Amino acid sequence: MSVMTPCSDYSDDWNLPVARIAEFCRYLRENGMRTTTRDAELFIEVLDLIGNSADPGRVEQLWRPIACSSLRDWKIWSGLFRLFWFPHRVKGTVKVTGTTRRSRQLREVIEQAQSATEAGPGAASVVGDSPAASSQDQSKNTTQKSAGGASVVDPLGRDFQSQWLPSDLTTLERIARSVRAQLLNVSTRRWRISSRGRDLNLRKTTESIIRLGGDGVIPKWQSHRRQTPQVVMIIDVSRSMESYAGFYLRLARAFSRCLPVKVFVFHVRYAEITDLLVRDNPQIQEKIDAVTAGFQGGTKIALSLKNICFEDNAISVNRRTRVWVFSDGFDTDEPDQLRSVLGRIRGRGGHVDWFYPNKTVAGMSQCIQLARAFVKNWYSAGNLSELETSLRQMR
Amino acid sequence: MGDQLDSMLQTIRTDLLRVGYLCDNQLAGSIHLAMKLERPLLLEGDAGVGKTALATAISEMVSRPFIRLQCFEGLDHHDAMYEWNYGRQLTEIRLAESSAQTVDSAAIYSEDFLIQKPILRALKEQEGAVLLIDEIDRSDEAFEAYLLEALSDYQISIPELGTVKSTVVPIVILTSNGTRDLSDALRRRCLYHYLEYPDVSRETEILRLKVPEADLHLVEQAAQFVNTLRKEDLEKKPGIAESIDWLKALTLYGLQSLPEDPVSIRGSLSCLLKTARDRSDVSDDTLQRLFG
Repeated sequence: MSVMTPCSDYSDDWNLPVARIAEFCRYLRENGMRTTTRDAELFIEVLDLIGNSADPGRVEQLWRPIACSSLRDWKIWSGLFRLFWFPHRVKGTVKVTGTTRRSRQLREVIEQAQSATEAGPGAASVVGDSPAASSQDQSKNTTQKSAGGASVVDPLGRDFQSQWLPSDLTTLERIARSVRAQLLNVSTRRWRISSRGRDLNLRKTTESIIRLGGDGVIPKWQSHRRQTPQVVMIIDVSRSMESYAGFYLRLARAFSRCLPVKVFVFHVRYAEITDLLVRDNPQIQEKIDAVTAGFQGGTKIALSLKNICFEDNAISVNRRTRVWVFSDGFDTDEPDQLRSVLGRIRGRGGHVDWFYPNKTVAGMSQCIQLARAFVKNWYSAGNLSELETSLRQMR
Repeated sequence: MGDQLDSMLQTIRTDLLRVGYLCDNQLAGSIHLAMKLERPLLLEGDAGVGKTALATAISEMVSRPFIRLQCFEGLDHHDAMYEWNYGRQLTEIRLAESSAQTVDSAAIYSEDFLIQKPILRALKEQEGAVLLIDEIDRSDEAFEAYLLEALSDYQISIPELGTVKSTVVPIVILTSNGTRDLSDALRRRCLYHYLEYPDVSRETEILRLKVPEADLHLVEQAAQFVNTLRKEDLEKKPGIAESIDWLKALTLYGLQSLPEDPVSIRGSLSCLLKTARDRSDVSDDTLQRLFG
């Protein structure tokens, strides 16, 4: 058995101010963790156990199970801890020179981030349609991903600002409500014991009579098991989808208001925007629109789906899962990768519905052609009327 | 105080090793906190990484009774917490009637007529217990709501009887394979630990611990192979349990190291590859490549 060693590579000037714990909790919440007041109390309890000036590596280690509640939290914890408590040790510190300049518009911020992306390797080439792409390109793309997309600044994770057009939502919300009625509470063939059921479960009731020696009856009622689908909307916001992404994001917002959905956007990597969508704020649509601003090609549909569904466990795929992919299907991953990922989703019982802006599937990319068998329904959704017609057919 | 903590974590590691479970510092820290802060510990991770085994190991480590609740779809509080023994109650009523006595409703709704199910048993255990709520993600959302009171306050409210509170707080371990998302309310009440697949060196140690009869060279090779295999695009990646099974199979073959030609041990791969697709995907060429 190995000897315990301090797990710290932090500086020696660590002196944890308890007063900053509340600030730290807020910082965690801003980064998507669900840290509560009780967690802050537990942080302090831990400090009481180990001492205020304990090795920061030890504090990081012991606070982790308290602060985290999912695999995503577990993975980002160390980075957040370091960024908050040891920002001077993180590369990319901004020095203030005293020179003032006008604040940049959101679109400019994103475009700047994107230009940094382009400077790196992995600029777009549609491997899905040109199988001749070299493995070297692939390895470059992989390197790019491991570096946090193309740059440390992830455009998808930024805070966006602009105007929201609430009138657009009215039609979409009507559509979403009608789909909700179709999807929610679908009865299955299976039965379950339920005190509110209307059918008598003869086996269980007879068992109760026997158990009571024939002197009494405890009726056991049953009803059909109802299945509430877990809808996951995955929206392609790459350059080829520039004309449609805003529309689909509006649709996602409409759905998120009336259905328990999870929404992800992706180009070369993905980001979850569910929390952003459920906020009732007039500026939210601007933020949502900005998600698509300035994104480049190099779409990785298969990789993003794989990460969302399997690698990062951002969702749990089971027979209740309905994955709605909104994409034109142009993928820079190898053509058969999409088929493999969709096959895995299908293997776990999930359903994949594909919403595409094109008129027909026939003209779509090679990877789509290969993966067709694993997509349950294809819906043409190039505009509102097409979408409405498609969703009316949803089953 | 830091040294004191180090020694406590070291003790946990040593004690768990004594009962056959090898854990790292992070996990020892989570177990220590779960016991000190009296909070349930939610373990997530792929199937076969040792979540359930950890609960049994903790039970042996602290010498407390091990109580297991296996979750499934349709599980309700009658199966998990308590149920009234209607048969006995009826008999009691009949006896009272036959001797012309009046039946006291409080008497027939006393603890004598209560059938204790795993959670209630764990709360009432005088010396404290280790309660494993296994595969909580397989139960229904409604059942999670039942659990909240038990997990946050270590008590159960029984309408006819009142509130039953634990005398000694049990160590509660929940496991989940992520087949569905758990509610925030449940997650918030638990400490969280994600168990990952071990690296090669740790897996080697685990295999040596679990299959001591295997040759050391074979153990190292097996750990290396399984680690490489997990990097393949498999539907079901082999867990530690699978590695142990495979090593046992290789030992039964009388091998002291992996053979030059991996195809000769292809049959044993059924210990590692558990789906038809994975078995077909790992072709002889892939095997050759993985064997290096």
